[in-house]
Amino acid sequence: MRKEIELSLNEYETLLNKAAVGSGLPWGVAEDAAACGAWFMSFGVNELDTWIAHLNDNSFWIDYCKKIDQPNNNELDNVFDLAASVYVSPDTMVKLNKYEWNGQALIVDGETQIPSFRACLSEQQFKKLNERATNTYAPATDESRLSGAGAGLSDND
Amino acid sequence: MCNPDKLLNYGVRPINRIVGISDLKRSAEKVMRLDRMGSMHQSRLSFLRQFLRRASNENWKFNRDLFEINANGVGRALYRLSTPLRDYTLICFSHDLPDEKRSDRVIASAWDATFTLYDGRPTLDDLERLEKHVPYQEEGRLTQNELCLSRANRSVRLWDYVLNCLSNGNQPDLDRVRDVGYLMRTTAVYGSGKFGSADRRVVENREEANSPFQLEMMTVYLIRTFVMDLIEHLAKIKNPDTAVKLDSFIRRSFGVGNSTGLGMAPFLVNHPRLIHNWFEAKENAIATVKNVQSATQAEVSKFKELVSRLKPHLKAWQSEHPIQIEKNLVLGQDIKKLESKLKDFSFGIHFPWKLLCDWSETELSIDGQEMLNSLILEPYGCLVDNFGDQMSCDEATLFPIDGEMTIANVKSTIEKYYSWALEIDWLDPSSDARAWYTSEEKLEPRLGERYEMPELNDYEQALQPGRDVARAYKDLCEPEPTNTLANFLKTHPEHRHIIRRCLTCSELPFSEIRDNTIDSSMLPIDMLRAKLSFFGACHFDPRSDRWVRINMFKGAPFPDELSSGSDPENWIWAP
Repeated sequence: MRKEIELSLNEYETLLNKAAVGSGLPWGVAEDAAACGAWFMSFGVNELDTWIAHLNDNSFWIDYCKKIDQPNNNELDNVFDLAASVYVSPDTMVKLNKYEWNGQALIVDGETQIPSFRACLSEQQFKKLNERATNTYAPATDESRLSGAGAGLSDND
Repeated sequence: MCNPDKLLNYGVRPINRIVGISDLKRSAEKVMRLDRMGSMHQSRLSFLRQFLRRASNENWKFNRDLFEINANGVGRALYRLSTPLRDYTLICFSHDLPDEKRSDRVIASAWDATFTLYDGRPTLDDLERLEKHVPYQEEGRLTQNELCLSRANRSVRLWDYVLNCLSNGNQPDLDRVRDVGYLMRTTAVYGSGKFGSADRRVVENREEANSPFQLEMMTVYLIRTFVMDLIEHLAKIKNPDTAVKLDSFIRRSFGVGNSTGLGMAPFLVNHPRLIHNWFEAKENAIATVKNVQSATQAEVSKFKELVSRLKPHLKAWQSEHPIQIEKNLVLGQDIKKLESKLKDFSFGIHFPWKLLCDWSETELSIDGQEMLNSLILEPYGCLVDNFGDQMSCDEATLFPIDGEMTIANVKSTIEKYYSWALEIDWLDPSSDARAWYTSEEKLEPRLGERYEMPELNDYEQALQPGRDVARAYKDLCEPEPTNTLANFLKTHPEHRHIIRRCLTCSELPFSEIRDNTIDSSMLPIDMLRAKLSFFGACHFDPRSDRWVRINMFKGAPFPDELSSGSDPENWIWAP
């Protein structure tokens, strides 16, 4: 994928969280979904298109959360379950398709990924996330600008 | 429920189990109330104090690497601090801002000066790149080489006056300088990955950046020096024959102003583990000093000398806001009571600081009590400064939810730690009168009147733990008590956020504000002041119930003074 937009990892996770809430996921579920997406990105793995596609299915992420909360019978059904497994049992080695967690690092197609605190995504992906995140913002109005922010006394003295 | 050993993995240190002070430590029920939080003062553990202490102890070097500013005040400058291991450079862009464009509000789009803190020493290419971004603030993009982003506006009350004084060869009037306290005030200091800058995790293992907001403090500290240089430079250009530099004593009376709005309030709610560490460290420090059995003459002298600074400090604490005017009146009475008490107080008795604090509980206002709590720490740096090392927190990992917990266990946890929330009558419209939301305008946090703007319900942020825990508790009463939490959260995913929060906060008493954050009478400035007191701010001057002006580093030594041995501590409570 061509590198077009670069965010800090923190900024990226915040955006994922907002996009998830803006898609209708409850706050707490959105937090786990965002942490999952950010975990992949911290190893330079962009699974964002799949992640965004699942935003249309609340039950997918609710099931994901249940796997975290009650990890005893975990089976890796999809790529994101890998993140769930590492979150719950970081020392446990797991494999799924091209991905492998060796207890310390993520290996993709046999190549160990170097962790970073940056997120690289396409302009299209960035746009899709922002479209969903925008649903969490109240439209700007004069009333909000004045009373909501508490304009108060002069701010230029 | 998580065991304490496991908590260590989530950035939480069990320091509340320190032997000997637990009986003297104030409870979270007492401390984490908004009226008390809104009455707090800076202390030895405040972040700017920690920053100056380290800079002095490690003998950081200071250099002005560049200063290219024209007669209109337009240009750029570089200020470098060198720690034993690395360099940090404040990159300053100075602008010629028309008066009508000057605004402290976050919705402003131009400023008198804009800044970024660079990790290392920037090249000319870096400067050219950043000149295309930093002046535009939120509209620009930074890279991992940049650590903070900030901007500042000139004080209309003081800038031209001081400029004219200096250019005419005169020093400004000290009282007038003290009443305003700064020549520029910052209107935002962003860090931790905002707008593409370096993620907190890039720097958190550096000793100088591990305590909270250390790089933001460095940014503001260097901005203060730049502002002093700028006004002297412009005075010299204005009148080269007569201009003088600021007298070093008056120069010290300038801090950096800051305007802080609602954006800071959600931070306190959104970072429960971090906030716990801040308040717990401070309460441990206070309890440690109360546990001092006998005070030496030097310690008592130090304390009394600081008390003698309080009246001039209060005199320079100007505000037009009725709430602050009243608070300052009462604080003035408290200072008199404290002075009077000290005349016949025998420090020879056992546990003198505890007795003094006990006295304050019945005789002083909450503001006065908090002032005393900050003051008693001052003679005891050797006992309390190390608590500063315990105020940071790795919040990158989400707190785990133990899905095997029974509903009965979750309920009893809520009953034990959130009884204050369950006791509120949530059917009373005044209990949920407000709604926190984010405006699409610069993504600024705001607070609206729910019943006047019902559309806000669609945008409400998760910033009302009291109401949300009461809602979750009501639904937890439905299933069988032996059911698991995991099953409950599958059918009630809307409660996942607040349940996670409850489980986190039940282990960390200082993590939660024990008040209703959406009550009709709630004052956001109380939340702002609590956070700003931990920064080390003083002279709180609310401009409405939702934003406040403050001063930072007022009276502190400048970098060159620090390098030549100025005391990094003994400037506090300056007028």
